[in-house]
Amino acid sequence: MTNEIKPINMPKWGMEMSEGDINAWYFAIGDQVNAGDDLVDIETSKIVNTVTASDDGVLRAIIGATGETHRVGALLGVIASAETSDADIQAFIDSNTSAAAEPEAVAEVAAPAAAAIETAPAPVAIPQTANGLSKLAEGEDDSLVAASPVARRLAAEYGVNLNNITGTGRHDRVSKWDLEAAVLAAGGRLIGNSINKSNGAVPFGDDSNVKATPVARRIATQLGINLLECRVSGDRGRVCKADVEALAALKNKMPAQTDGSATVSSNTVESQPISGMRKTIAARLQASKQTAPHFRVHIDAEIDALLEVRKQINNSNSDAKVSVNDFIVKACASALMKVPAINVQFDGEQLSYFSNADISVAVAIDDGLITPIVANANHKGLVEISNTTRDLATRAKLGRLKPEEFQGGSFCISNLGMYGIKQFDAIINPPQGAILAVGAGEQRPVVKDGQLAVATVMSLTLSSDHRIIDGAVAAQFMSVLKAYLEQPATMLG
Amino acid sequence: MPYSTEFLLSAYRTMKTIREFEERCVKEFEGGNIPGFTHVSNGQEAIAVAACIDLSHKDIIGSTHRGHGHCIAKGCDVGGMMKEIMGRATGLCKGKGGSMHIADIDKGMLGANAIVGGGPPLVNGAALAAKTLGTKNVALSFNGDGSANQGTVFEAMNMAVVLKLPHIFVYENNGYAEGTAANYGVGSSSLTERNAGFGMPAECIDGLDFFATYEALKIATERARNGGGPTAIEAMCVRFDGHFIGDPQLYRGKDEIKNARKNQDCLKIFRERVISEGWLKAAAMNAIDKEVMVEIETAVVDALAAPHPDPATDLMSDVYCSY
Amino acid sequence: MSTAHTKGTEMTNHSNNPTVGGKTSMKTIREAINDALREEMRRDPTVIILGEEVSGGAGCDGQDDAYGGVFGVTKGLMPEFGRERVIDTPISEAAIIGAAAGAANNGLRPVAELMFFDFIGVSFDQIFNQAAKFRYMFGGKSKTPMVIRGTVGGGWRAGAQHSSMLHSIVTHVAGLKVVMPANAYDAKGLMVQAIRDDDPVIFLEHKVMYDIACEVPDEQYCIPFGEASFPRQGSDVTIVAISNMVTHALTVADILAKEGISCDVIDPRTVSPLDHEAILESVEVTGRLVIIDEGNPRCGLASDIAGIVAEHGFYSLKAPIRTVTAPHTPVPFAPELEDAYLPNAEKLMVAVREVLAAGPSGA
Repeated sequence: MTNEIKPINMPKWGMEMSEGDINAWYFAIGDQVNAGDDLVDIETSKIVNTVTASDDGVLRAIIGATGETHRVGALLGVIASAETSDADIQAFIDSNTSAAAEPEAVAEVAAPAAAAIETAPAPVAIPQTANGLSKLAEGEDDSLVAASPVARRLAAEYGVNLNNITGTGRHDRVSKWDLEAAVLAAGGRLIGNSINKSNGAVPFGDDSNVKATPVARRIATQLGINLLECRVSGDRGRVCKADVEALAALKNKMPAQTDGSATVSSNTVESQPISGMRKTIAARLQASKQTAPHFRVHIDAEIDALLEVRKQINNSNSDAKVSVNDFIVKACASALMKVPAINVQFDGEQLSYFSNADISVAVAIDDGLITPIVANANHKGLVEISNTTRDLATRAKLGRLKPEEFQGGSFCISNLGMYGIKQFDAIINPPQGAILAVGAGEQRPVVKDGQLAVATVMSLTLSSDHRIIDGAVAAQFMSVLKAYLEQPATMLG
Repeated sequence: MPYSTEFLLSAYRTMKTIREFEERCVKEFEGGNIPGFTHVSNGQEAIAVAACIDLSHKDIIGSTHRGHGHCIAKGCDVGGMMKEIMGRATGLCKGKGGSMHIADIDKGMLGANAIVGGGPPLVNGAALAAKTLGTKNVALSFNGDGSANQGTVFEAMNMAVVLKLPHIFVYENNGYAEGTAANYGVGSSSLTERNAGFGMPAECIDGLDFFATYEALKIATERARNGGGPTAIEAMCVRFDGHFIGDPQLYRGKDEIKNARKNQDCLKIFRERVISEGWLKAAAMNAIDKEVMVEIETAVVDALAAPHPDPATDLMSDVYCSY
Repeated sequence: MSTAHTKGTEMTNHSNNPTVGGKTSMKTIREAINDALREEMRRDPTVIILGEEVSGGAGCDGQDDAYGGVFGVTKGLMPEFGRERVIDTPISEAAIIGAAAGAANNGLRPVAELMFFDFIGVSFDQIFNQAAKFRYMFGGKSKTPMVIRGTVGGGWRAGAQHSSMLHSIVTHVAGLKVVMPANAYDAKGLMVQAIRDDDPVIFLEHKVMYDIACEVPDEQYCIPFGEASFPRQGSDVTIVAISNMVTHALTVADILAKEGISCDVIDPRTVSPLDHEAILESVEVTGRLVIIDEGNPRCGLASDIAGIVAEHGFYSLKAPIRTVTAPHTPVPFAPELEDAYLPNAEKLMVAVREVLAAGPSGA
């Protein structure tokens, strides 16, 4: 019966690597290992990395101990089945550590079939095998040796004489864990369950079980930092160097280093905590962009006719100061009545269609924006819309809006035309279904009946939530809207 | 002269030490240097000294929460006491007991007891040990008019009579059990009559008069030492301060405390007596006054500079002898 | 029970061992404790006994030593040592315990008795505020080498105020040690240890167990505190039982053994200090734990042990921990009610089978 014995060799990571330090083994002798498991952390002058197992088996020997340095290709450990005899394991080890070979002839990283193997330069601590265990069996009558009942019973199963074990348990008796440590040290395997973490001896605050990269652990020890307090952002759920350094910076032990050398700059930084409103805006818009699949429909509208109507209204009524935006509000309201599928709220579960158009108008205020609502805009005339909007905007800038005046709305208009913006795309305000982004009305060349002409053109872009609004519906809305804007008289009907 | 000069000077010194120690505790507490609760016994010095002056370190006393005076009278180190009251590691109890648990077993002081009535059963035990081992030592418990009503005290008194224990029960009746009058709390018309009802000799004396108190206690101690069993001595006295430092004492009459300090000061009474009898000269007592002030000042300065206990080592120590 | 011990005047300092030494004879728990007390009183003149009716007949016209303790545990001691060392007291539990504590601090080694441990109510201050705390409060200067013996437990229809199991309450108090033997061998060795121990020890004797007998060495010996005994050993399930519950655990273990299921039965013997390491070692092997305790469930010994194993042995467990305790009620009087109240082998078997069936099977 031959059971395959698999070596664990020092890998070669990169052309320049010639040797590596062994930082930590993830398994102990006798443990079951599965292919893909992290086996041992190796550190070189350039990187720290982990050798993973390429086979299933039991870790039968550790030749490269923690803290030692070995050449690339050196035999570090042996994986085999549980049934493989200790003698065979020893023979394999012996045959693989005696031959010297050139560094360049070393096999590739973690290759299962070892070719020429490097000689391990320093004497390695080969654990006791069969010899060790039989030594443990020798000794005089041990029935009076202080031992816990479980330890005594297991010692009999192992064939171990209690006289050979140092007791560190209660009243200096031999505990189960003393026995197991001795068996392992002698190269034996443990019987049954042996989860030593449960001995209750780990003091509170002991971070030796926290998963961390070896470099992180070393730096943490140097700085007196407890790994339990560090965030965990390294790979494979480990605390990494950056995590330790971040905590250290917080504790003012040392400045946090960024990659590369320290920069010298005359730039000053003024830090401010984020305001409540900004936080809210940030959260809502992020959620909107992440949740609602935005698609955009763009149309240009010629507004010369609209501008003429506006002039007429404002001249005839001394109280009136109707703006272009007021027309847009009215036009949208009318369009929403014609294409009610846009006049909708969606909270992720439920669709709410509105019978009236409550139009949110985006107003810029200090450090943010707010969207007061022109309610029932479809029932309001232009002058009323104008007055309402002006009142809302004024009070918005003074922070005097009532909640119901800016919470809600079935549709939103955002107008950056006053800044000269030609076109832009807005982000939907949840739970609304769509938002209209309005650019500046500007003189542009247009083609009429095959001839070049000049008209006042405004770009409008509708962003819609594709979960609930389809392309054709959005297009239809824009088409209706364009019609209203280019022929304002039709809004009167 | 019925008392030796040495005896009188010693009595005066101890009473003065207690007085100045307690007055200083009030100052230090108000200055924020004393943690927790502190109960001072200024005004009651004569009883403590009269009871303890003839006791050896092998005689045992048990005390109440108002135990600084008993401690000093029994010979405990004043410096160690102040450190303990301030919670320092070099205090009499390593800072683990504080004012209410101040003790020095080596001096025969079984501890101040924060439990009202907690002491007498324990002092019975000390008396039982003395009787069983045949040492001729005696045990003395200090009680208040308040603790006199606690069941444990009744049990201890009865047990002391039944087992004929060498236990002297001393009741410092200062008129107040916390904020309630002694007359109100004691159901029978006289505490002494009630004590007698337990079957032991009982006497009531003027606790402001050092000499009357001393004589009564001397008889009781002899009786105990010679196997005559327990005695109850009720000593009437006054406390100058509240139940605890910081007590607004609303339950006391107007000018009562001012009057007490003026007319019911046992140190003044002692001074007047020994001078009028020609037993001591004022100068000798004045000299003691100065020395005591220095001793107290030193104790406070040392205590304030003393090290604090270290949680790493002192928190878990001395719970058991072995575990 | 076959566990070894050390003889003579030395305090034992070693663990369970499977050998018995010296000449033995069958003794009941009552006789074993009487043995321990008598030999210690002979050896050490500072050992005294005090309590109600510890001898009996004081001041009466009839027989002296009329009782020797209401359960007969201290019979024959007053005739040998006199009323100076075996002291009948008035009915004053606070005075009794207080006297013991005060005497312990002044050269004696008293063994005080609370006739029924339910009476700690009227004496609790002296136990919990005084004796337990002296050493700590006085900065390590005092020691209180006293033993308080008390009877515990139900089964005799003695009613709520004479049947309590209060070991949890005194275990909770730092400064006290708590001992509850379940057989005559342990009772004698632990009583000797208790008398020689320099700390206050609460020694709880189950009132229905006094007649249970086993082989007990004639010589004086100590069993150290904090070492559990394993009257049965196995690897399929761990059963922790104390005092009268050990019998039920053995019944269950022996039935299961016939089915090929082996149990570790652990009798901690001392609740404070507790041999939690032995329990954790056993659970590492078996992965399954049931605790049976006659005490009430809230803040009890069973929850304490369950908590320790959950915190320190979590990764060994293959199934949830089960506890079998009395319910959250006082002890009832009527026989069928008291029988329903007390944990027994049937209730324990149900729990053990649940724990065997739950979780992954096999090693």
